[in-house]
Amino acid sequence: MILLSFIFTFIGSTALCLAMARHHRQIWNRAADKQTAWQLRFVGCSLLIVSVAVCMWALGGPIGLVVWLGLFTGCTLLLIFLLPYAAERISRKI
Amino acid sequence: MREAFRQSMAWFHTWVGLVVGWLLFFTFLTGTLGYVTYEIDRWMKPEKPLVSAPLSSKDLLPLAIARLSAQGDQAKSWSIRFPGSRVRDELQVVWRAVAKEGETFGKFTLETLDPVTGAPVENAAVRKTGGGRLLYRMHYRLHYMPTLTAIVIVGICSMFMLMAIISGIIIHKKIFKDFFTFRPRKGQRSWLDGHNVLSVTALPFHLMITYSGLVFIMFTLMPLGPRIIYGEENRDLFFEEVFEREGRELMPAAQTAPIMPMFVEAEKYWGEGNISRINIDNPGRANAKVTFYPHQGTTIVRSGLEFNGVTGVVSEKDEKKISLQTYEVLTDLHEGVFAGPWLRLLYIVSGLGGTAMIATGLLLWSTKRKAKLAKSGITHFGIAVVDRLNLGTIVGLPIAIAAYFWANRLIATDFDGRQDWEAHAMFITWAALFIYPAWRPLERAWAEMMCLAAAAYLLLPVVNFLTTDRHLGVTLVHGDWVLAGFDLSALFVGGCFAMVGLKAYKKLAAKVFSDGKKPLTKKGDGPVVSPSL
Repeated sequence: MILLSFIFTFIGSTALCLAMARHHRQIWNRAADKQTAWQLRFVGCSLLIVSVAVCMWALGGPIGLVVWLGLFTGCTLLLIFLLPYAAERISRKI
Repeated sequence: MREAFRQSMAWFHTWVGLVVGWLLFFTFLTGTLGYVTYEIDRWMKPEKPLVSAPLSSKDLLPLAIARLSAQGDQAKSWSIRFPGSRVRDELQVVWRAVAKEGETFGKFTLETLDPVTGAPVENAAVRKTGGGRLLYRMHYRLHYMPTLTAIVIVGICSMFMLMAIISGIIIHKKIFKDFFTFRPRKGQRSWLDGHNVLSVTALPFHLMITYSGLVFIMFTLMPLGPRIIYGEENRDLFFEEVFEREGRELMPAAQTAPIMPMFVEAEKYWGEGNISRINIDNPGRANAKVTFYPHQGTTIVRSGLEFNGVTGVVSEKDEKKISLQTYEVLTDLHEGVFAGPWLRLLYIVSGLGGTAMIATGLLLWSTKRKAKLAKSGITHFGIAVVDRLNLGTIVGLPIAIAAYFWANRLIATDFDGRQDWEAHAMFITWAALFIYPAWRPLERAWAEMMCLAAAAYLLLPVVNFLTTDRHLGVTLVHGDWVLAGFDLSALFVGGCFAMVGLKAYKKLAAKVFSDGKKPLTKKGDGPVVSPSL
C-alpha cells in the first residue's frame, strides 16, 4: 500500500511540476498551452489526494498522514534532483 | 518597509546559520543515526546471536513473573519486556523500588533473563561498547561535558535553528514557483537551489523535528514558570501533575490477580504475538494496575490496554489531559517510535535532507563571499577559517563516525575502558580532520577527504570480515537483514563518497590541465569544489 501511495505521489508531483511553464520547457522546449497545463494540474492534484487517502486508509489516519508527508518529501527530492539530468536526456532524443 | 524587513531577515538567517550551523550539523547527523540506534547497537555487539524466530511471550511470562516475585513486595512498579521486535532480542525484567526520602524515583534495576531457565544472565561475552545508543545520545548530550550544560547548549542552538527556518521561509521569495527548480553545474546558483530544495521539500519535517526537540527539553530551557507558581520545594508536585504520575504514598496491600488470564485477553486485543511490554504499577497493592503494550500500535502515541490489577478486569482509561497528549504526540513524532521500516526509512531520508540543508547553507556562506572577493582579488582570513571548519565538519564528521565503528572492531575486547576509547577514537579522528585541511589547498583537501571517507566506509565491511564472524558472507546467507543491512549501508555510503571524491579529482585535474600549473596554492582563494552538484 505504501508502494502504491509512493507511485501515486511521484506521478502526481511530476504532473504538477510539468504543468509549470519552466519545467514543461525543460522537456518539450516550450511552455504547456493553457488547457494542457490545467489538465496536468488536475491530474496532479487528484493523484496527490488519492495518495493521501490510500496512506490514511491503509495505516490509520494519524500515522498515514505522517507517512504521506515523508513520502511527499522523498518523492519530490527524487524528482527535483533527477529532473535536470533526465530532461537533458529526453530533450536530446526529441 | 517590506524589502527592509526581508533584508534584515536575510542578514539574520545568514549569520545565525553560520554560528550554530556546525553544531546543528552534528546534532542532525547523529540524531538521524538515532533512528537506527538498535540496529547499530546490534552490529556493535557481534557476539550476540544471529536473528532467530522469536520465542513465544506466553511461555516467557511465567519465568519473568517468578523472577519479579522473588524481589519481594517493596516495588513501586514492575515491567516485563519481551523479545521479538527491533528494540529487543532478549527477555528483560525491570523493577523500581519505592522512592526513598529525597529521591524523585526509586532505584531502578534491569535484568536480562535466560529464556529457558529464567535465571538472570550476565552478558560477559558481549563486548563493552557505547553502541548506537551513545551515538544517538550525543545529539543532545554531546560528549565530554555534563548533561545539563550540553542540553542548554543544544537547546539554545535549536532555538536559533527554529528562527533560522522561519526567517528562511520569509526570505525565500518564490517557494511555490521555485519548488521544483534545481539547476546543476551553475556554481553558487546550484548551491542556493540545492539549499532551497532540501529546505522546502522537507519543511514539515524540519519544523516538526526542531520544535518537538525543544519541547523535549522545555522544562530545562524554561524553568522559571513552574518554579514561581509551585515554589522551589514543590518541583516534584509540578512534574507529578504535568505527567499525571501518582504521588508517592503507598496504598494498603492487596493480592494482585494472576497475570496470565489478562495476557490472554490482551493478546486477543493486540493480536497474537504482538505483546511487547507489560507494566505492573504498584504490584501487591490496592491500586495495582497492569498495562499491556503492543510491538506495533496503530496510533502515534504509545497506548496500552489497562487492567485493574486487583480484579483483573479491563479498566476504562481516564482520558489524559490535552497538554500531556500534545506533549506526547510531539515527542513521539520526534522519536518516530511508531514507525515501521518504511516510515523509518523516510525519517532517515528527511533527517539526511536536514543535514544536507545545513551543509549547503554553510557552504553558501563562503561561496557567496568568495564570489564577491574574487572580483577584487583579495583573500580573507575569516573566510579561509570558515572554509576549513566547513570541510572539517561536513566531511570530517562522517569519517569520525566511521572511526567510531572501526574502533569498535579493532580495540581488543578485553581492553580496559574500551567503551570510552571508542568515543575517544571518534573525537581524536575528528580533531585531526579539522587540523588537516589547514595545511592543504582547499580544493585538494575536499577531494582527499572525500576519498578518505569513501575508504573508511567501503573498508568497514572488510574490517568486519577480518575481525568477526558476523560478516556479509554469514549474515546474508542467514538472512539477518539488520546486520547485513549495516554492512550494505556502509558500502552504499562509501560508494557515494567515492563518486563525489572521484568527480572532485577529475575537476582538479581538468583545472591543472587548463591552467598549466597547480591551482590554488594560496589558502582560501577560489571557489569550493562543488561535490555532488
